[in-house]
Amino acid sequence: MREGETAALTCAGTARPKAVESCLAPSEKFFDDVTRKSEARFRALFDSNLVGIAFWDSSRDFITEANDAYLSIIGYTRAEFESGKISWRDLTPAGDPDFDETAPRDVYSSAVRIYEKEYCRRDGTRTPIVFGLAAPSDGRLEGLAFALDIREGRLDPHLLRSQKLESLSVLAGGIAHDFNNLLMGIIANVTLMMDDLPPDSPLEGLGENILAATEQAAHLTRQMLAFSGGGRVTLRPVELTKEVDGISTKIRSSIKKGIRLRFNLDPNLPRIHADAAQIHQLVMNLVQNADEAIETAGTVTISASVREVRPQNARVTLVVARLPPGRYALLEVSDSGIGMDEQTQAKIFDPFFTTRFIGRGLGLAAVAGIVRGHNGGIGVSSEPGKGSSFQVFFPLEQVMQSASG
Amino acid sequence: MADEMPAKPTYTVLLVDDNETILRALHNYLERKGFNLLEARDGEEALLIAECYPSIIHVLVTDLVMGRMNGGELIHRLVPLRPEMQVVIMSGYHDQIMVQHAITPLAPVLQKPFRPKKLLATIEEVLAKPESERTVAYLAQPLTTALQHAQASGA
Repeated sequence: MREGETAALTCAGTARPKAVESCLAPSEKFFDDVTRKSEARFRALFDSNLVGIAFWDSSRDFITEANDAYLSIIGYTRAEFESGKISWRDLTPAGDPDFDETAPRDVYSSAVRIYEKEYCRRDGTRTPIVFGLAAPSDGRLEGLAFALDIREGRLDPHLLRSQKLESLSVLAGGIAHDFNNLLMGIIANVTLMMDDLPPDSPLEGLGENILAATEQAAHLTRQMLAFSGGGRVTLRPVELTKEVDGISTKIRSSIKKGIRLRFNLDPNLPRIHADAAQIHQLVMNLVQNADEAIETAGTVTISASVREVRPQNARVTLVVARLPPGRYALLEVSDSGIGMDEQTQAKIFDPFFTTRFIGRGLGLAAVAGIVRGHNGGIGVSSEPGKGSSFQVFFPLEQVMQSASG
Repeated sequence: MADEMPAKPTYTVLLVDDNETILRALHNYLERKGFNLLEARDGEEALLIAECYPSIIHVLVTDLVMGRMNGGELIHRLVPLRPEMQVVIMSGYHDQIMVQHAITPLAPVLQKPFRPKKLLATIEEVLAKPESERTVAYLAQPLTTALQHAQASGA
């Protein structure tokens, strides 16, 4: 604690140099106004209870002031808080690195730190928080602590989800790139070896097997790149109906024989801004998903139409939190398959999530990445035993233009 | 198969990639197909080699994302110095390819991994292009404008 005080004093000494103050020499009224304004701003922040905020007296080591959000996190009522002195040690679980005596010194000698930790609540339970500390630079021996309740359900699941997706995207993009280089090395070297084989060598077939396997691996990395949102720079005016039509043969050959395939494509659909290759990938992935949901016989319907998204039903999507209201091209792939419960629906766009014994669980994750790359949205409606329907929304070309220009 | 190619001038290819395995293998492959090969591990090395090389370089085959100087900058610095040179781009990054595409729209792009046969076919294709469709014709706009264009169309 002694050391902590010294550090705080050093900090105070550098807080507001006299020379600067005299240079500015503001009028008293101006200074009052500024103070009042700054006080009002701070009050608004403090009372908003968006995050828990507390002040610490560093010399006597207890909380001097706390907002309601903070008290609710640590499980004290205001009366309890005001009648007793709460020390940071009361809140820090034993074994926490912060329990170490050096922790307060760090706080008062340096800038803000943000990390996840646990607080001990009054009733002895532990609660996860995101924690940050700041030392005010005005010379008071006071620390400022922020605590954000991150117990499940406290944060917007869409926010958590998009953060999780973002970090996974970066990872997937990086891995995909490295894999592409490695696969390139394999393909090029196998090709060289095969060029040296005498005609009709039995090794020729083995080489082809290697090449075929690397091509499957390359397909996987394309899925990973799509998931990571790569390729968003290719967006060009594309006719969705024409694109789906163009791969209808490929679609048909990718599904079980017992499945009836229906197309319901609006021939006058306005154009969308899209990457044709990624649209193909998206359709194929959705169709494959539909195919897998149907055991032997059933129907898969692919439709494309215009859909108006109104402000009140903007939250149609699991991938993008909100779609701006307006007209969209809606691509819908429905199947009469086994359907999904809500728990499954919540996870289907996670990479490596799969309900199959075989499979890699990247197909729908790639779809989600492609949708994000197209500033679109995706929604799912499904019930066990009643089939599933995936709706993908693409901004129409004119929507894009009016939004950007 | 390479032996069946009709007699034609030996073309020189400058191959640039920071991945040693790929560089070795593609170098080897193209050499067997009758090309004269120069190689570099990044854009700076490629520029240096191109400056020292006394005769024509027919095709630049370059990776995009590399250490000291990336493929995009290399293209922009080297093509004006060697207007006869054609460009073939290869990359493992999809978005990078697209940015590049906006800068040199006529340069074909091979997304890694690809079969070497495809590289051979692409090189033969660019060598057969008429003068007016050469890469240099599309470098008239400054790099910054091209990049802005690329970003604008991407955002």
